[in-house]
Amino acid sequence: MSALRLKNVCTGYGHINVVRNIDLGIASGQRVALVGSNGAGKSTVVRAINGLLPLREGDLEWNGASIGSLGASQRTRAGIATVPEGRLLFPECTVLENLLAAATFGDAKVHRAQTLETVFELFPRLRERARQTAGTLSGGEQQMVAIGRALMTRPRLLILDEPSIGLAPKVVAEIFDVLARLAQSGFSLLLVEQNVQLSLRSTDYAYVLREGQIVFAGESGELLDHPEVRRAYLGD
Amino acid sequence: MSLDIFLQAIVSGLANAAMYALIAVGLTLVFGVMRIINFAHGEFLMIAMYAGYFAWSLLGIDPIVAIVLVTPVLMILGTLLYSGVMRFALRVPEINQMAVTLGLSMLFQHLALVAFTGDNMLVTQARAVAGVELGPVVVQVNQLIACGISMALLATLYLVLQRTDFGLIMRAVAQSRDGAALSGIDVTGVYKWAMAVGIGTLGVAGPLLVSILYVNPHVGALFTLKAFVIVILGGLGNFTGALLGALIVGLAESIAGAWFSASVAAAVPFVILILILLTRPEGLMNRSRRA
Repeated sequence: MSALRLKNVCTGYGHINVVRNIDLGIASGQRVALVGSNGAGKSTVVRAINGLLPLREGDLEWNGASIGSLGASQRTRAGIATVPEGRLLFPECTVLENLLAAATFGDAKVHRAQTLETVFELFPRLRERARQTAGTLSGGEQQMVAIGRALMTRPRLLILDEPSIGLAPKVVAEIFDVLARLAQSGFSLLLVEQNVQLSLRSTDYAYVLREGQIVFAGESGELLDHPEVRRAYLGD
Repeated sequence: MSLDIFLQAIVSGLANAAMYALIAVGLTLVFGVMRIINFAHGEFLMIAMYAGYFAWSLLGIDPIVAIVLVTPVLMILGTLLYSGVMRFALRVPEINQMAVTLGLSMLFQHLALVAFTGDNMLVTQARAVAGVELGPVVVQVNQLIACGISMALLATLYLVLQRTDFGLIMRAVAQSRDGAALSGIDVTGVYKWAMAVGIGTLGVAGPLLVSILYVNPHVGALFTLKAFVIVILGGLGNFTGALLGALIVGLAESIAGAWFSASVAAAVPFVILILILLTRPEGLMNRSRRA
């Protein structure tokens, strides 16, 4: 059974529906990639899942319950955390404050010190930078804060929207190393990446989005060998 | 200008600055969190001043005691303002937001005119005429009390904003609304609290002010403008900036008053506003957005 299920989801901005008829499932502990070229609607799907964009049609199920009408903060509290495009950090707050601000409710608050320790173990750099304002960090460090902040909410599903964008290859490797470790500890993962090769290699299952619709779905390994996927996204 | 008069101007300026700061932080807090300038801010101060006045004239309650009663009422008015007006204003363009809060300001002024007439009212206790000599300078006892309470409240607010989870989530929403929502922060709840605290501070300022200054239906408009200047000067949404702005406006007004005249003093805040908008529109304390 899927932990998260999108049923016939349709949404967009203004008069335009950016994504249509999206059916997508993420099982508990599964690592799923959502790939597609620029403008295919990947971030729109992410915003439909995390609640920043209301659904126009369809529904969202999370562990069997409909969450389509919940707001973004309620979905986060229910265990769906997002590392958003552009990170959306609190730039004038310190690294520590950015992390603490994501654990001010329920269970996350109870276990705050413990989760913070886990985040600092995953990203030792953040412990060193704890008192520095987030806006003054490098791009890679900001991405670490964004991931750390998402983890502070104690999620069961972690959505990452373009975590590698604009970062040096070495930093990307470091971040994907952490993601691999996270996946082993039982998180479900939804990875949205322009770097198709990277995202297919680090996931179990993948959906391919084109012009707002899912055109392929399958095991990531198989998609990596799929002639059309190779032609369209891997430059063959 | 003799040294004594200059010192007197500094001391009065500082006392005014403390009150200005208290009034301006509410405006800047609401703006910081919701990105709406509430041009009816001063009218809530006017309501708080009337509340302080009538608590004294009808019930014989000392304005300092009245603070305890008026503040919760103003906090509730703040949340009502959110639920009744600001909630909808959030979804419309800025120009409409301005029109809404300006309209509200007019409405409250005219309602006050109907309810309380246009007469000036002032709490006139024995204390009101008493002064304290500090060397060559004389300060009104009520001004001293107002200044002390105001500074204590500002310090408390600062600590709450910087050191508590409540303050942290307010700052988080102010810096990224979506980032806060994705952190599990109830953004609507924060808006309500920002309005409750932002308008609630006027529940403290009103009773203190009506022991120093006459209240009439139009007194709020003047304070809205001054608070607006202060908030722009310090940087919109910037708490410490508002304190600095209040200090500058309070001192400049009072020194100009001593040097030239009261009418020159009244123009000073607006001269400052024009200068700051021309030279550093992001305010003194906000990071420059120009590259």
